[in-house]
Amino acid sequence: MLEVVVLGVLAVAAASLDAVLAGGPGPFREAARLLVLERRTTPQADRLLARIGAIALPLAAALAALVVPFGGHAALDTRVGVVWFNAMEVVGWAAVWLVGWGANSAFALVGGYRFIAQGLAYELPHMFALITAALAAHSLDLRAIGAAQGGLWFGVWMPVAFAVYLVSALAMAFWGPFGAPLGADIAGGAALELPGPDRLVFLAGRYGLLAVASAVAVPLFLGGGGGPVLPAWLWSLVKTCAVLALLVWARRRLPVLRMDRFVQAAWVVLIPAVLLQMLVVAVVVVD
Amino acid sequence: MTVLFWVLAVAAVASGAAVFAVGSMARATFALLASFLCVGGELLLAGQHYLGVLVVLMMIMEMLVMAVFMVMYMMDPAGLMPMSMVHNRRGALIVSGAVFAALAAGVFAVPWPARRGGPPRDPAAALGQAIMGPKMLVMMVIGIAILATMIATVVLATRTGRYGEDGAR
Amino acid sequence: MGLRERLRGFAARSPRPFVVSAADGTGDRLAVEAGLRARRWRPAVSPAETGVLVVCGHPGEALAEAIDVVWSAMPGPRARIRPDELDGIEPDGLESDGLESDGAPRGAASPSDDVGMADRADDRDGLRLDVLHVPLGPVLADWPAGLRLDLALQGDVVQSAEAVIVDAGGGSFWAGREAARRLDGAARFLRVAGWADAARRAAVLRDDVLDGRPVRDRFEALERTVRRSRLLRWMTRGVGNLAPDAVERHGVPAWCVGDVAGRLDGWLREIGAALDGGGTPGGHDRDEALVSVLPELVTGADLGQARLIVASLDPDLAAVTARA
Repeated sequence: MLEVVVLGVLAVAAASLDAVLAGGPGPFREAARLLVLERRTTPQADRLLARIGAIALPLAAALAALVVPFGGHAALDTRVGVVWFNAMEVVGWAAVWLVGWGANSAFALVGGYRFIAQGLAYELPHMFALITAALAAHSLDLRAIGAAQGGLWFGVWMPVAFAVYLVSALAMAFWGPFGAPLGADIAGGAALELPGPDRLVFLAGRYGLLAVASAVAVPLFLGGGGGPVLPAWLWSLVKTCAVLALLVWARRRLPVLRMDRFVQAAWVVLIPAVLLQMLVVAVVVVD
Repeated sequence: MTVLFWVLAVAAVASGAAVFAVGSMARATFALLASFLCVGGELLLAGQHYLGVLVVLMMIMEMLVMAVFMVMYMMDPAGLMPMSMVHNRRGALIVSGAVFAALAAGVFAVPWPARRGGPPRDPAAALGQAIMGPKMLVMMVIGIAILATMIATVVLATRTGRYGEDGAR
Repeated sequence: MGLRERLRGFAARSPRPFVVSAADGTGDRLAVEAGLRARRWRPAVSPAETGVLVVCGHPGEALAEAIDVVWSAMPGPRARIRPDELDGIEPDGLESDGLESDGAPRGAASPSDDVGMADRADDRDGLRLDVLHVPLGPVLADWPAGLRLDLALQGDVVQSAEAVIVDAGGGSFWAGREAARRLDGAARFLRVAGWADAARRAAVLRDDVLDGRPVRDRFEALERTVRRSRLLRWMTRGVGNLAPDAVERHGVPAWCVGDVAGRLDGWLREIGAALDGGGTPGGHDRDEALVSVLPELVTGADLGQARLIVASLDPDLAAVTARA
């Protein structure tokens, strides 16, 4: 369970780094502000669904964290960690759509639908990137995949899959260039009408998802806990922090992608590219 | 284990029934999703980790896509008016009653085989062997065909579709 | 409840105000933006996420009404302040019991949710789909002050639009400050495009230009960043294309011809020229014409594109003569 707690701490650290980069108040002050905000609902809102959506996001992040290994140890002993992570990450689709739908507000609904379109764009390349790493290690177990990279990190000899994974990590946390579902152009999108405490829970879940996505990149592509001198768990932590910092930093450095253009690139460029990558990996591994 | 099994089983049936009792398309969709998630949980309990997680993964995505279409085609997108999820009540009751009776009869009528051997060490790998081993060619062809169809559909839809670059004005 | 009081006090030291501007409120708005930056506060993107409302300038009757509707729906603890009152935010006692009350909705609601029942109409493929009537503005972040676009949406695609000038007059703040005006336009455009960093740099440059500080080098760096961004070009190319004949039909200035990406390019060139001390070739902007061309341009675009189109024209309604 320690791994889940560590990822929770990393999520708070990510929020702090983001606040520093944005030149705004830290996460605790913002959390306090949201907590004391009056609960207010729009007319005819489906509050049950909206609240399920808000809670589902941090819950999914925590459940996904169960299979994330630090060093060679994960909280949950399962051989299908990759698929589990994938399934929990898809809960985000439901969460954002529910929150957007439940508000009974046009902009929020548009935000919810934007994330479905985004999901359809990033999910297949994402899955193929996951499978590519699993294929090379002959396992769906994140611990085994991390341990299989003794000589050369997967991120080095399958750069396309690694790049696609990083893109999809941004997309699944609707972060930075993939932030359109919560876009400023539609006044905050899916989260527009969330009452303060619900908003806090929802946004915390988003940071959690970002932390988990960063942590999973380590066993998949960055050699897991492998490294000189330091113990394995510490290497995992250091690498996770590096990936997380990169993702947080990228948030403000890039304009937001609109799915009416990105979907086409995702399907016509990213999917064939990552399929070719998988073919190369398969030929190397099978020989 | 047994308690968990019954909790999930009852929850699956209850949320399945809720699909027809709730007043909005969105709630009906997510009641159905909850039912499927419980079934996924049962598979996990049965030791089929890969299949169980796969059911969870696929059902969430499918229900979300279904929600898009259901909401698109229904009268009242904002869900402001409660609507009935039940149509053709009598016919549906007869059909569903008959199907239930047939399935229930099957449970008691079929001579269930006794267990031979133990479960494989890695059920996911055994499943893969069973499906992919002798039928590899068929699976490959179908897989590529489905993928090609999806990509072609998207390309067609974005290039000249209603809201694509050319159709926008 | 000691804990809640302490939480409230802790939170009150960094509020997140929502800033709305009347047509004549540009000067106030710039002061507020600079004030927020100096205090390390951040503005809210929607009134629903905060209880602090800053009203810049002097809203006319119609805009004041719209602001009142938004104000009445904002969650407590609430404070409605003037631009020079950032340091003395005193929340009112109106909110009852924020933490656990599930209170009934108060007042109308924010601008986006007076949705009502949808009716249906043919879309361009002849499918009968729902139509939603949604106003864009006038109380909206990074939106031209005093403007409202009444949209008929199918999905998030604009089927038809009507531009309404809700608030106008007061004389343009930007007269003789062309470089700053375009920097302000670029800053708001970049925020709408979701590029926070570049937007922030543009806003800082705008304030420095107004204060008479040298910005030439920093502007060139920003210009390089923006021009080199393939993502921005990818997202703005071919959006909101204005045909050359619109110059005659609507009387818009010539720089508007082309797409959103081209207009942003034009602004960057104009800023560079103005910083070099050159006059602005375009002359007056004829802001009323900019408004009149909007409905035609946003029809067929989706909401995100529509926002970019409006931001790329950036009409200044203070320069438009107020109507009765």
